[in-house]
Amino acid sequence: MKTIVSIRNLEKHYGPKRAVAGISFTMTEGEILGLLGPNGAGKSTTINILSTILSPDKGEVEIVGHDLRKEPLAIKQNIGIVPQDLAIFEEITAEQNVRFFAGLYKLKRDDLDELVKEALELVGLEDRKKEKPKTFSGGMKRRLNIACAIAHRPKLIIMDEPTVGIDPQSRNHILESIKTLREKGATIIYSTHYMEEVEAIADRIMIMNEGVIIAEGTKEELIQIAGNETIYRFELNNSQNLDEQRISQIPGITNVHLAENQLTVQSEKSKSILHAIIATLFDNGCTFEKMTSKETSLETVFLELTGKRLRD
Amino acid sequence: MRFLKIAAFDFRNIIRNPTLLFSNMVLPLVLIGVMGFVTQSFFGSGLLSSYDYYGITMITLSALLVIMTATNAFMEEQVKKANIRMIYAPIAKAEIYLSKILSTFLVGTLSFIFILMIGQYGFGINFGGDHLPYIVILISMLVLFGSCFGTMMCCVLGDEEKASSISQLPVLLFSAFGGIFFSTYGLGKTVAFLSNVSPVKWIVECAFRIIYDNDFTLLLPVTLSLLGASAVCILVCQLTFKPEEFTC
Repeated sequence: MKTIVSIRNLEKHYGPKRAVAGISFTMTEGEILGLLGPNGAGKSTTINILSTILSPDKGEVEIVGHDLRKEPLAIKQNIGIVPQDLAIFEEITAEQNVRFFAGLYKLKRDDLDELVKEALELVGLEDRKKEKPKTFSGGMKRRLNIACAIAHRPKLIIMDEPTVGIDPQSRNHILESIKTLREKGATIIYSTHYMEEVEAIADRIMIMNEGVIIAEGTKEELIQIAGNETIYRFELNNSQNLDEQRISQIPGITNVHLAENQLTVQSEKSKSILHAIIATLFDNGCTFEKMTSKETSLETVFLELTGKRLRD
Repeated sequence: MRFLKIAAFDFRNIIRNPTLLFSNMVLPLVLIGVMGFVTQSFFGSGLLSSYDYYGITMITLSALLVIMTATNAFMEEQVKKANIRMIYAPIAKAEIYLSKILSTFLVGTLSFIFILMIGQYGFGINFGGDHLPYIVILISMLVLFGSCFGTMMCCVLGDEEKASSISQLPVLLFSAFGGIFFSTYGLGKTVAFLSNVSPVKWIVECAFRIIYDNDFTLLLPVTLSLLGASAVCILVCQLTFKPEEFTC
């Protein structure tokens, strides 16, 4: 697989503050990288460096084989940025928007019509192309925002929270569009605060905090880091006869805690042991009113690694 | 080619904006009409009518106020957001601010040519008769300076509102001491000194000398000074324009 992004020991400081503190990673062609991190983690600085807007203080960056310091214009020609803000003109038609922004890239005049059409089709706005964005819903504007960034067929697409504040239907459309772009060979960096989006589309997830990459891997690999477990909670009606030791002895149980008729049992996620726990409770003469279970998720991983919720 | 495409696009954006269109094409005529009407009794029936006097002074003031058009064309909220894409595109940063200067200059120049023509041939205001092309050159240079100055203020301050409000202060001071609203003649040495350092005074003086004295001696130095000042503004743009500020 061809390497599209190669970053080694990237650093960026704002005065004494290290916004990016020596990160390294690579991306191969057709890969979707989900970039997660709380506010101030260094995601935007990294994105701004990759888009050549900011100069790094240290480190090497190569995008599509071009050195960031030596060939910034060649890099710009090969990347498409979907900014968090809606970067579109409201007073001209959707088609004119895409045409104007695509025209800023070196494209053959003959290709432009086809590329504009292709971009609008991809985001599902072909039939609204003659309308002005000021008449669009928030979701449609977001889709146009994407079309303007991809019409020149960039090899690397960087999306910075492209689905903020839109309806589920538009969100699904955008996520499907991103998968289509990958199928066409685009490499995508997807920065978001929505964990479920990353789970749905990313091949690999990178979590940043305080300027460094604190975890990286597939969803399954990250969940493994945080301990792949299931936590069961029982609200018991009576617990005076319960022998906690008997529950602890069930294979796969890692921890048992009983306090004021609240029983918490932690187990390895892969083990199917709920029936054994319930049988043991009945054997001990215990009945319960309510039972809940919770599995380790990306949200749990994120919380454990950063100490913050993603949307904080 | 891409630079011209961006400039043409910016040009269309300005003329689509009714407020900018009004301030460049209608407001100067309104100002001339109001000031000329209110002060006509002070001017008598001599060679110079109140409309002739305020025709030149109000056009000079309006041409300077192109600064506001420039700041709006560069950093009005909607335009600024869309400009983010230009920053991501493979174009030099100079093309971004130069396109704003060029588009503002073209809109301003065309507007003032229209106003001068309407004023002279429609309302009978004396804008120089056969010498009208020289007045057009003079006002165009002032529009160029206004376009460059407004864009420079945006590059330095990074914000339309700040750039507009801060720019208004020197414009008003130079205009007041330059004799735009009332003649400063006979108001004492201090006012005379301040009047002499006001570029507006020399532009108005130059225009009146061309129109009434057939005297072109000030045209070249005033034009070159405005061109030089515009070049300085462009240099400051290049040094201070930070594209990354658009993305933050």
